[in-house]
Amino acid sequence: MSRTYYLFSAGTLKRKDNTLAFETDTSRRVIPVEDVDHIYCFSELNFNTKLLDFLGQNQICLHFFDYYGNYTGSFIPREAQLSGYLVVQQAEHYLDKEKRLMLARAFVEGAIHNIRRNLEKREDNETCQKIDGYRKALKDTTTIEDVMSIEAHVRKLYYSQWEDITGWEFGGRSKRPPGNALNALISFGNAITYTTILKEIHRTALNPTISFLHEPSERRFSLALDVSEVFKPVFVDRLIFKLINLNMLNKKHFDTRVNSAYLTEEGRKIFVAEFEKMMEKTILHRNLKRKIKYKSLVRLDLYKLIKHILKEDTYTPMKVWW
Amino acid sequence: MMNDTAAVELEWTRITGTLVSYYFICRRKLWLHAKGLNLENVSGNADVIKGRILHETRFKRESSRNFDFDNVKIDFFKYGDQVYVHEVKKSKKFEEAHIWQLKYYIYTLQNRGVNCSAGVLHYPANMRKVDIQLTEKDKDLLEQALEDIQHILQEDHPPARLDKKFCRKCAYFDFCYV
Ligand code: SF4
Repeated sequence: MSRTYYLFSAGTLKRKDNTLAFETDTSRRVIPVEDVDHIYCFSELNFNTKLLDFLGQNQICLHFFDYYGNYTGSFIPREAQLSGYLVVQQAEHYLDKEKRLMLARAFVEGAIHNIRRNLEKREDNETCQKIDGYRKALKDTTTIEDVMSIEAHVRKLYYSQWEDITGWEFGGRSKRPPGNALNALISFGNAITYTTILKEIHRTALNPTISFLHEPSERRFSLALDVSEVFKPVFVDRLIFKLINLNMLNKKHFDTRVNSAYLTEEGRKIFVAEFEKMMEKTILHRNLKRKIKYKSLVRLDLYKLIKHILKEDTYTPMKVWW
Repeated sequence: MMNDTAAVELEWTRITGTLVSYYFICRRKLWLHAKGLNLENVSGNADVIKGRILHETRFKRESSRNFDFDNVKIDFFKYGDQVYVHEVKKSKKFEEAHIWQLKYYIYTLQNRGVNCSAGVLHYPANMRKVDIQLTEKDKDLLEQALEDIQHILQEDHPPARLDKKFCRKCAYFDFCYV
């Protein structure tokens, strides 16, 4: 079940009877379908619609990245889970201003908590205090714009610490294209997290296009953006700090040009290998009283979101407790 | 205007055998399942997957057929002088619920004028069969259950979780307890 495959070399992906085969000029690899649920493709890929049919039947997502490691898009199997009841309730939580605000705040609250935990370890008091101030102010927000702006401020403060934490040049967040190595890592990690969450959303009856913090029009599956906010500090940022501090990544893993930087193939391999390792890590869940994998945290958060939408419980986003 | 009985019957046709069995297992599960919140396919729960595979393979070679009767999905039929309903289950854990599911099938068929009053529950894993009859008393109980199901489904919220030991093995466990 649920393994992720990463394709780095150019080749052909095809259906071979009841398995998948990835063929390059020099090699041929068989991928058992029962085993895989995401395929990330970082180079040129040849395939046909027969393959897509097969991936669809087996609920496998195919994600594409361009030469620079920018996320280009995904093939997502048609939703199998449908609940008219839930969709109506979900839409109601978007349309009702108060209900939407409550969820938007919850996502940002989770994001701030998890960001804060990343800094706590470094005991940066001044920044932490300012962040706490914003966290308090979050409770009094009356519009989505206010919530968004609080999040932006917190991120800015947070990022201001990154040169200290990593010892790498940062400056600030830059996206298209990422201006330096740290920005390249953030963009890459965020894209991997987004697709991971997207896949989990598609396994539930939640509608991925109805979001609360982000506008539903912002991206096709903007609910994945909402949920990403909570998980990015844990899945992406912690991993970046680790990779840099353990010197697993360095200058040579980036292709740096004027005003832009990209992870090289080797760099991406290191990143995704460590990402996978982290997803398989387990922690003891307090409510469920059993060990769960990091990657299950996403599914559990979606369950909590569903329960909120069904008005059974109030959504409390995943907050790192370790 | 439809008279009351007709309206009720129309409603009942939306009730599947699975829902009837869930009614006897857990009403919360009944509600969630009926609202399209199915966690069975995604939980990776070994029992659930085993059940599905069993269903897909066990009776492939029997000279029988799957039968879709409105919303009632019946595993297969055998024809003697009358019709028998067969249902395959992987474990006896919820035998009581399985029995009622089968009785519901018989009941539905009878209501449609099919000559059927018995069926067999199969537990291949235990090499066991259970013969099922539908009595008059069963019919009353079933009708009561169907009415209850109706009421549960009209609720805006799922019924509270059971807090039973078997919850741990349920596909909905993570959902209910997180
Ligand atoms: S976990 Fe327990 S309460 Fe929840 S659906 Fe299953 S049996 Fe019912």
